[in-house]
Amino acid sequence: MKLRYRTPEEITDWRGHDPLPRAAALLPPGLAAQLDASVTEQLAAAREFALASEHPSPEGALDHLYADGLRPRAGAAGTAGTAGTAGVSGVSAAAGAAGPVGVTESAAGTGARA
Amino acid sequence: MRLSYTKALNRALTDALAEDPAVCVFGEDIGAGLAGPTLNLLDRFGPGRIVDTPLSEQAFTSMAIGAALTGRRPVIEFQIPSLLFLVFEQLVNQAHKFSLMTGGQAAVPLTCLVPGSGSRDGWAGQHSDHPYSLFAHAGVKTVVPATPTDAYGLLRSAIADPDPVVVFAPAAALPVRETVTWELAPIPLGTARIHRAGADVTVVAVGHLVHEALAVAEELAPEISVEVLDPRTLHPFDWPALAASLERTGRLVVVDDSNRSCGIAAEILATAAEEMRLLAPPRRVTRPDGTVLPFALPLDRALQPGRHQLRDAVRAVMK
Repeated sequence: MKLRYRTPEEITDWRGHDPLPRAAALLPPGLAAQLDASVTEQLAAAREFALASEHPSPEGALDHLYADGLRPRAGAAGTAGTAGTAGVSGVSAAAGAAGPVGVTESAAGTGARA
Repeated sequence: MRLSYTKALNRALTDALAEDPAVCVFGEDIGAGLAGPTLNLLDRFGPGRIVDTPLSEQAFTSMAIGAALTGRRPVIEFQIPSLLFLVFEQLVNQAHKFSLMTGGQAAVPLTCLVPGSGSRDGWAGQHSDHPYSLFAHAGVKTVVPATPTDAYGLLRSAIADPDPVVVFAPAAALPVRETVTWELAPIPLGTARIHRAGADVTVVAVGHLVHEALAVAEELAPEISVEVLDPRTLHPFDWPALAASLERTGRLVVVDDSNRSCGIAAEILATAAEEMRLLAPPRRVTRPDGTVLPFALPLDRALQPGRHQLRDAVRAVMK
């Protein structure tokens, strides 16, 4: 979809107001280039780490939802293995354990949205 | 005529604008029709009625409420459902309350349209919520059409309605197409639709999940006769239609793309348990409590209500 309400001149003009280069000009000489290099390196490392990692597992889909490890109830009670109410109170015990039970099952039904 | 869901929304806006000069549209990139429903409206109705706004949801929502208070019928298009969180104050604490607080002297005939609510592939944590239950809870009129003709008819009624109405067009329903051989017409808010008659279990399905429920009903047909009821409007809810369906089946499963706690499925189960005929404990299939949809698609899918869970729930209420 082409958005035609901005002219090329307007876009070019506003590129000149980009706050990053403007802020960089206020820094001590060389610091901006140094920061750029450092961030580029971090991004490259993050990409490498991500590509080398296993694909995430649906069991862990809600890991870290709460900082104290609280596990949410699954979306369907009574399906195989669903802890149901147990998930509600299993605050510390379940921390770090497998994700909301029943999740693997629904992952199997991925036909969900054809 | 072969009608897509997005085209149906576009037709509804076009017809409403043509019919009533008080109707106008606010939103981001609506002049370009970026999301689809507003395509070509600027050319036909001009910038006085099709108002492209900056990224300023709180400002243009307040402006539209002001326009509604002074005799216009504005429609706001929101590009993503989470933007509704940003304007919850204006919609719930202002627009929703003006009629009562002025003793009926003021009305806010405002429509908020969210084309692409719920999960879209890879839109991740902050763009994938489906907050229709929040609005139903707050008492704002709330509509979730499942099909193109319902999308047309319900959006027309939302625009004509004297109160604020939020219309959620689920992203997963947008690809739905329908062969239409009749004239499109408004559909009254608050009326449910039985998509498939059945004798054993009533499945109440919201929005795009109507299509999942129909697939499950077809699949289970040899063993269980499933009735599929689409409430279409979540507030006001068509309770008589649900009661009538449960008179026939006596068993209930709700499939709802809300978070489990305080989602519309909870209200439907509670009302059925309090007031209606049930032969077995009802069940619901929802997102988990407090869901944040992850970026990775298998994780995103795993947290959304699906056919597999729905099948299990239907079998469970038959035991």
